Amino acid sequence: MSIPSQQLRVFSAHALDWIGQNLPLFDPLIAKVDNQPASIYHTKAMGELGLLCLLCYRYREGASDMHIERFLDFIQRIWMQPAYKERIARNPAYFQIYAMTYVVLRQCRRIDDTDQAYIQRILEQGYVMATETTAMRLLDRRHMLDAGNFYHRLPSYEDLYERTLLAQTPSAIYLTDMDVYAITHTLFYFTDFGRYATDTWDHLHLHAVQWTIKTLLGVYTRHQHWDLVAELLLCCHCLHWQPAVVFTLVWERLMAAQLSDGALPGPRYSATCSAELAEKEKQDYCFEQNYHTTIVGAMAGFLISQWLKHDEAGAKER
Amino acid sequence: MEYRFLSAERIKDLSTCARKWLVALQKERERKHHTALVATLQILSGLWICEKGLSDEGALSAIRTQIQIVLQQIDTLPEISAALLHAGPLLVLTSTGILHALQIQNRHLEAFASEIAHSLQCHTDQNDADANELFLTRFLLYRLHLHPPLCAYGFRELAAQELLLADERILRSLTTDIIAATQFGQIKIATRNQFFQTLTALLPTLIIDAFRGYHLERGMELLRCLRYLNVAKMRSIHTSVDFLLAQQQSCGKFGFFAPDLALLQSSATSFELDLKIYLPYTISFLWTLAEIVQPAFTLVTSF
Repeated sequence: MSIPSQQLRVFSAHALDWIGQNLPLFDPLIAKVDNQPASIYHTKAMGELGLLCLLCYRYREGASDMHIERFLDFIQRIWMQPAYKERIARNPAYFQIYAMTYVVLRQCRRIDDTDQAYIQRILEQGYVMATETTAMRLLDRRHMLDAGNFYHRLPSYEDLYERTLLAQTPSAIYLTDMDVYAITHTLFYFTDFGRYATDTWDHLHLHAVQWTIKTLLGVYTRHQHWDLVAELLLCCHCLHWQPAVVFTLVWERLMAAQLSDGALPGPRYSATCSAELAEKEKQDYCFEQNYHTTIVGAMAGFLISQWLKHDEAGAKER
Repeated sequence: MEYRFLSAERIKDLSTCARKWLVALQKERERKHHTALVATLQILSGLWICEKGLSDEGALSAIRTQIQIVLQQIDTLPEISAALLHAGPLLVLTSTGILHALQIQNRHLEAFASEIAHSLQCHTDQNDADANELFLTRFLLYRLHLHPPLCAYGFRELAAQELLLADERILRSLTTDIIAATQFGQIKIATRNQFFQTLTALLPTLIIDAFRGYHLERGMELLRCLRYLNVAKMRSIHTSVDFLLAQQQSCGKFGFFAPDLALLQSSATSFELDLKIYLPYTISFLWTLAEIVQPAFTLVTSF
């Protein structure tokens, strides 16, 4: 028996509440200019928030979600500031996370293509495409460039996929947390978060990938690593597949792990540490530890609830 | 169900290599005048699995030599009852079964087995858990014709959440229950039962999680349970067997425990570690591999 879509919507909405309460902390301009690591960290957080908006926007029905509209207003306000936008030209090493803001706002029809040529020019200087990275990151790069309609000469998704860790389906026994992140992200970008089917894979490979995802879902739930649990659930959405028994069971655990304020605890979050901090430090600590897990949880809850809702409607019709 | 994905050549290689290590360890014990009966019987079990479970040559030469060592040691040990008690009923009953398979009886082993049979006859199980705990002993006694046929055993149906988050204690009771309920795979469980479906869906996760943490014994017990439940989870089995094969050292023993032992700052010699750590693990590895890759072999029914 699957989990009701309504429960996932409530879970996701609660996570969005937390993000809404912590919205100012996603601002990359709050960091001092000379503090680059802090600025990159906030930019990355805002990029992930943008991705959440983009995915929710794709599936919007009628009026958009109030939270999502507010988040997009926030991102748009930051993008419009030259102090942010010019960072792409000043610091192309982080091209992808800066350009993501543009891609999100374009996809959500918040801005026109005035900046398209500016970003394309930076791309064509050659540095960005020449930087070395992993196969999964190349998939990520291609996914972002395609979403933004940028011209590039990257190999096809299938060719890039063949070079990834997931394509080799290595033993799940040896996979590290970083390997599992590489696997989940490969599926996100290869399927464009479930938009495209994996029909180019043969049955055996699909079965091997499903086995890996299902087994890791159980393993990471046992270890209460909610960040990877949420990412692996999102992978189920990407594969349009619900592993028997495990899917419902893992969702129940993830929902039970949600904190009263809507956050999902990240892998290094400690309630004891949090309780010992003063109010401001506590807010910064909780944001730093939990923002990524909460965003991924919200994505998984939202996308899977849409999918289940569709199935439920189909079942009613039958 | 067919698990034959390892070539006969590969099985022979791993078995020959392990057998050589067991024989060499026995020789080293003799050189050092090490007379603990438990190790002699463990080596006997290991050789039995190598020659009977993993090899189809049927020579049993190393087994016959080891049996002579067992018999000689039993006859010369001053405190045989204490030594048998120290070895434990399961190892002693298994060894007695191996001797029986070769038409050999020893009065000390027979007396010990009879004594256990007698005390179990006087024992009343308090509950299902108690009964399941004693299942293996009763099963071995039955194989030795010292116990009447066994009744049907049930197992406690855990909630799915409890099973997914099972700790060491719950996992131990789960494996005991599966062994008892299936009588080592001889009895089929109703596959339409909801708990059976939950169990078979989650067992692979529990196995892989155990191996990821290098909790080898737990992983191997659960893997054998998968076979007793007659569940064709081929990818889980394949992944686990590949992993187990990679744990065999070039000398033939199984397990890479040096990093754990270094943390313990143990002053034990390599010989002592071979006996205390590597020997029991090697027996367990051989037992698991034999039952998984040779479907016709089940250790406790092999004699």
